[in-house]
Amino acid sequence: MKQQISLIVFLFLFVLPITDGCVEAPNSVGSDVLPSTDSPSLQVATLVATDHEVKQFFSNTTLLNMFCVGKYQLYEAWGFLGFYGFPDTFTNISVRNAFIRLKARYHFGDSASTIAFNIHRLKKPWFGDSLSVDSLKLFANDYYDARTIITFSQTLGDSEYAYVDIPDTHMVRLWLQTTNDSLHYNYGLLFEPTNTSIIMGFSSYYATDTSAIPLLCVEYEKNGTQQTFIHHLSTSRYVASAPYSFVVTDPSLVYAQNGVSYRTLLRFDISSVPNPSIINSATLTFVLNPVHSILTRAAHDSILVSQVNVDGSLSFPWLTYSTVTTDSLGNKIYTVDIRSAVASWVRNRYPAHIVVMGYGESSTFDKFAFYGPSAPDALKPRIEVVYTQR
Amino acid sequence: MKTFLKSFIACTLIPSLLFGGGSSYSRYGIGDLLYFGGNRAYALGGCGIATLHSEYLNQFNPAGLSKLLITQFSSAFENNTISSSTRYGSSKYNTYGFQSFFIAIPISIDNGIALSMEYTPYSSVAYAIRRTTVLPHGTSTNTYYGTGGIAFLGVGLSLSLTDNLHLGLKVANYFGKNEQYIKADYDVYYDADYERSTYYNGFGTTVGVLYEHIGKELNIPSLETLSLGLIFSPPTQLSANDIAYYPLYDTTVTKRKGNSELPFSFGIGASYVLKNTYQLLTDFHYQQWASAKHFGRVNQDLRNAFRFALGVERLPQFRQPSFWQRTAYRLGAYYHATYYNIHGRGIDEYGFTAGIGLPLGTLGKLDVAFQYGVRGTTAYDLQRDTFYRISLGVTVREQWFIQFEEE
Repeated sequence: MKQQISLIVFLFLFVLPITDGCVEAPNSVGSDVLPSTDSPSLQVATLVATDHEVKQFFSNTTLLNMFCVGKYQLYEAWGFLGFYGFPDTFTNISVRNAFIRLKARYHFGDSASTIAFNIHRLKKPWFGDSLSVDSLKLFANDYYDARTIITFSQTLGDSEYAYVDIPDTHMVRLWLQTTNDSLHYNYGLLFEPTNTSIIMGFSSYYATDTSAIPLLCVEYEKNGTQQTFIHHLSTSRYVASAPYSFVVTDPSLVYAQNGVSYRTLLRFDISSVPNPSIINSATLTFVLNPVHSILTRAAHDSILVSQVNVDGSLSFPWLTYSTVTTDSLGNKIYTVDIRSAVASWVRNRYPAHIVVMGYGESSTFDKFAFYGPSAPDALKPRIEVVYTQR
Repeated sequence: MKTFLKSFIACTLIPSLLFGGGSSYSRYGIGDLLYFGGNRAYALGGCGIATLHSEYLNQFNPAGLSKLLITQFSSAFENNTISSSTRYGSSKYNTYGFQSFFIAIPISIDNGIALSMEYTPYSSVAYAIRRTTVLPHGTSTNTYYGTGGIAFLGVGLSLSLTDNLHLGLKVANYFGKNEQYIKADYDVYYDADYERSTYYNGFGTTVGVLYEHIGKELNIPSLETLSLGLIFSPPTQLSANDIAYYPLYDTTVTKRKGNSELPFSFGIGASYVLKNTYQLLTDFHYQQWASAKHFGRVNQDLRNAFRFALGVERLPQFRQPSFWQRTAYRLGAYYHATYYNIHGRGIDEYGFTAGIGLPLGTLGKLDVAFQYGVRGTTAYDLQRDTFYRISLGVTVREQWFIQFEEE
């Protein structure tokens, strides 16, 4: 009897969920019963920049896909190039001839102008953070040999090769011997611009097109045999300058100056978005001032924005780059999705600051000038925030 | 028996882990209030305040345990199918819930002292809604889930002051969490989702009085088998902690801390045994929710609640050889003015119950009950809920604390 009842109980327990009714997916039945306060409601707030600050930023990276040389207006770029990693077989050789082949990939200024530069032998490493055009000029004797070893002047189109002869074959032989002889050194070459109307960009070792990377060609004689050696391993960078007053032609504007470069820090008032809120959308908008901008077709027509850490350093990764549209009045509008940034501002994890820079900042000299915080409402930088408050 | 008991407890607890939708009304207050006075009372429309019996456990009135002769364990679970309908559609959900685990131990039979311990759900929140709305710049599909409830751990004690007057006291620790999850899926914007949980904890008491054989006191023989019962609970302050969690940002925010009140409540009941064959019962419960404060404020969506129930049982004839004669047969009905006051309208419920109590020999009893109920209306943008509930309860008896005379 007990076993029979036990069996009935267990069968009841496990059969009942299967046989008893069905469960439907949630639908709208009962939604009118819920209090209206349960429904998420979207709120909109417009944040405006309270102030801004334009600052110069120095890039020290040698990982760019090009290096620049030249002058245009008050823009100035000095290039650095060094060949390294030579094989250790070049002992007891006699260098007959040597040249460097470079490939142009970018220009800023008058494309019909001649690019001209003097090349000097460098006397010390040039990878430091503090290196700039000003420090290079101020401490010239420390950085390079004042003697010009190569003079170059040519009109080059984009994608043309430039062949730079190296008359100082002794220097080249010393380069080749540095792998075996610690008494000799190779700090590479400095390209000093001497022209006035163009800045040229040459492909570096990190160019995606391997046929464009710099190469060193050496014709030498060893044991009575003439041979040719071609070397590709190189490193390069450039430093550029432009006076603040030359770049920031109107202090009320927001600038992103590539190449040199200059960036703008913007501060926003986030107080109208309550904490905590769920940020559904946050769009940062800039309106371009075409009069004070210099945009070339070679550049990416886009800007990049970044958050700022509490200590003032930039936080990685960068936020995102802009999309570009044109409004009904013909103004170019740059918009950036900064939803994650605004969410962190609301939660006081980051200050409500944005740094604006050019996209491809080290690969062009384009200048973006946007209307600033003091401009009319329709033109000033603003963030349209859509949020849900609970 | 132990194996059976353990197995049954396991089967009782496992279903309680399942989750399903349910009535949107449970969004309000602390959810649907669960009136569970024991396996037998469930089938009697919820009557049981005036029940005093050695074979049945009274979970409404602690004084009702004073006739206990043997240790008893009782457990029950319920399968609840709810069909909700509005003017625009209907939905159906099924939930599988644990109702109670109760143990009562006679301490002194002569003095009617019995100790009880129980774990019983007090309220339940369960709803699931999804709705799409058109916004100026797109659409939003909002999903609302509610889950949780309050339960209590209670310890009770009964005492017989006289042969007919019995007292009882129960102290309960109320605890639980009501959770609300809301998600908005936008086709134009990023989604928003968040959880809102309110944690409750506090202690409350229930005092019970039961007077049997009223007719003897009044010298009215026909009322000899009439018993009256009374229970009341003073207001209980539960600590309440309201917390919001934002999954997207993994951020938890304490919105507020305070108190939430379980209001003053009382119940009166009567039972009458007719011809030693039928027992007639009636109960009236009242709870003063209109003035109960939640975080210092009265909830406008709640009102005072009362519940009136009637029940009749064909008593089991324990000395009869037939199994079906030793089975109890039960019917009941109730009217419940629930504490919900939605959109300014009180939500009322009525229902019918039926059940049987099967004897398990000396082992105990198996109670099966069925409830059918209707609540609410489809007018005024409200909804009508139709309930079909099946409950299975087992009471097991064991002799504990047997004193043997020394030779």
